[in-house]
Amino acid sequence: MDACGGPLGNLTAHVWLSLQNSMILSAAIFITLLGLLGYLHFVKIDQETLLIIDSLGIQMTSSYASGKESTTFIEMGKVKDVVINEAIYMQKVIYYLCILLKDPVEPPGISEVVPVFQSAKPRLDCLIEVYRSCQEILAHQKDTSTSP
Amino acid sequence: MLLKAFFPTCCSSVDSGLLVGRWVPEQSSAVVLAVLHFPFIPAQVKELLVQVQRASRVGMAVLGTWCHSQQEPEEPLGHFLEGLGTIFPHDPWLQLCRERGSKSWSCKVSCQQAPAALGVPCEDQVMLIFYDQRKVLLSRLHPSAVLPDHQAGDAPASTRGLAAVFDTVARSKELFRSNQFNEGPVRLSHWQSEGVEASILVELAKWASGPVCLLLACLLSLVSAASTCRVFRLWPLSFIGSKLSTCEQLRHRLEHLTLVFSTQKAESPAQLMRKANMLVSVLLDVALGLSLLSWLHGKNRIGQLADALVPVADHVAKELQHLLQWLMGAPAGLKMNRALDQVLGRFFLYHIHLWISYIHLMSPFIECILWHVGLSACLGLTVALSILSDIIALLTFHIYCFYVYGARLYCLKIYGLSSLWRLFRGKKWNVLRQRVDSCSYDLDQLFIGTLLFTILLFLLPTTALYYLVFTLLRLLVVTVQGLIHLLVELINSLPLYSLGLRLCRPYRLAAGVKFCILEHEAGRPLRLLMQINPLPYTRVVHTYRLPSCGCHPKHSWGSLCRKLFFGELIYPWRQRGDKQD
Repeated sequence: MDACGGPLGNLTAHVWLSLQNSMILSAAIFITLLGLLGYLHFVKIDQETLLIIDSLGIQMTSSYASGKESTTFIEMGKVKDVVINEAIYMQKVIYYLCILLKDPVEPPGISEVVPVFQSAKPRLDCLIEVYRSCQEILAHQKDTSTSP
Repeated sequence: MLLKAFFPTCCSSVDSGLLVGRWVPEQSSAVVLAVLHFPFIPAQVKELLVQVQRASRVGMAVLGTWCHSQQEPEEPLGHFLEGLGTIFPHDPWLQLCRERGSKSWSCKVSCQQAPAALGVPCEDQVMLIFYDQRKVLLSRLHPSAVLPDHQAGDAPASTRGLAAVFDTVARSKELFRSNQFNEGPVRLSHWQSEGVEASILVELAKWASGPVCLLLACLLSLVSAASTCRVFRLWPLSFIGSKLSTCEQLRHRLEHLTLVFSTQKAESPAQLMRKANMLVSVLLDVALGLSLLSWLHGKNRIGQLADALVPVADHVAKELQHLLQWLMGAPAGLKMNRALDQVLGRFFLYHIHLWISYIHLMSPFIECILWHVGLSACLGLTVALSILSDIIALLTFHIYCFYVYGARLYCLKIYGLSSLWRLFRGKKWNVLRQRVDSCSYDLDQLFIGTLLFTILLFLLPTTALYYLVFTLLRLLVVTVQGLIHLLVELINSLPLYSLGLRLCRPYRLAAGVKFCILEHEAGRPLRLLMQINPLPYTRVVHTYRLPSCGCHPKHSWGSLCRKLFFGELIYPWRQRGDKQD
């Protein structure tokens, strides 16, 4: 009897195909899990914090879903102003808080615009509250630096 | 303006004494570097400060007092601590106090002159920033944006803002030399007060590095002198040297070794880092090369490779013959120009016949060649890989020849067709003005032009098919060589020392700082902890990447596709000047 044509051959082929399928499936699951971990570690931001320390600087912290934290500190000497900007995104107007940095070559100019809360995208009323707090500290900073 | 007192964490539990450091008036910051303990003779303290100032060029001063007691300082002690301000006059005078065993801190600022005149803050406007002195001393603060023209660290670091703190600590090494084992007149507390960090092995290595570097530098100068000999500048040798990847790699490695073992001291931290990266790169390369060498010489693998190489080359040649026979028929059911098809097919078949003869002629020497190639791996894996790339280039020389013939023929057809197409439309290419102009042709010219255009157009599919097949084969070889070059480039240019430093000592490569709030209560000074924000891996690679040997592709995808379409020859690993069409 021909082994390839008989029931044994069919069974072998079936087992081989199922094994191959399970390997492909396990590889797909593994890749998906890796992708998910990568997404949680590098993309998914859980929390964003803005800390303004008078006469020291502004610190922005992003906490990722995996627990990783990314911090950016901008010295107060480099900060020109904190403003609420508006942008047209798709079919709507969105508002975002941003830090204007002084140009080291031309002090009256602006070298860079650093957006804040890029992931959270808070509503305008929340942004206004944060903006007012920032302006209070910046105003105090300007007063103390200009006083003789 | 708020007064910022930068206080080292290592001093937060030491005995009472004086705060020694630097006052930065522009930022109204006090950078505390050490605590000088009681008892002391004021004259000796002043002498020490002058010595340190002379050595470090940092304005040292006694900034105030540090009190670490069981409870709040009593009235007489308080008066005594305030009275020290008259011996060491400094405005403002800091009075830091911490109760033993508790977390409560107090900070007072007193001024001899009117505070308003100096711009010094009131008593409650003080911010205590704790910093790890060891980490700040050993770290290198990288600017937020490195200019593309400058190597990192070439430009002097800005001493504004927090960079001033880093700069102050880095330049105060002289102050940190004294420790508890010194029989000096004053007793200081700082990060190294328990004893200076040292290693016998490091000291021995430092002691031995001088003569070793001198010896190796002499040897390398001899090698470089031999390589610049006039014999190597003669036509065939210089031409071969410019074409072989091995020569390029050896030149590159020689430059690396010359720089690493030069007796000149590194002038800047960036140069030191570059030297260290090069040394680690060379060591890793040699280690990988030696492991490859041991693998090749174990179990007679070279013999096995030599035995397998000729049959593989034969098999490739046979497959090419089959491919040509397929092209000489009706490939994929396409009807070719029979005469041209036969001419091209026979021409290429003759080449393959020559190639097989050449391979069989070389077969007795292949094992010997491979043995020497294996031996070259002790110079490094990159050298072995470069030799492998050159061997692949030599073994696939027939494919390269086919590609060149096909490309030249196709290019001729394309340019001929484009020129005749312009003639067909009554136009011509103006070479001087680099544009297409109108032109009136004779009837004979138009007739012959149209005739030639028709002939070339009908012969184009046959030529294009041969060109397409051999270009694909050439691209396959180029891809394999490209992967080898990529691996060589990776070993050559990856800043392994910097990456290792980033992995094991992240604070050494600082992108900036971050702050944690330790205490924020009304009536008490705000206490922050300053931590170092390490440089991201991508920026470490970008900043400290070693210069490559210029073997990377010079074409963009667009220009490559354009060249392939018009039948221009591609030399992906040669610079424009090296190109020999």
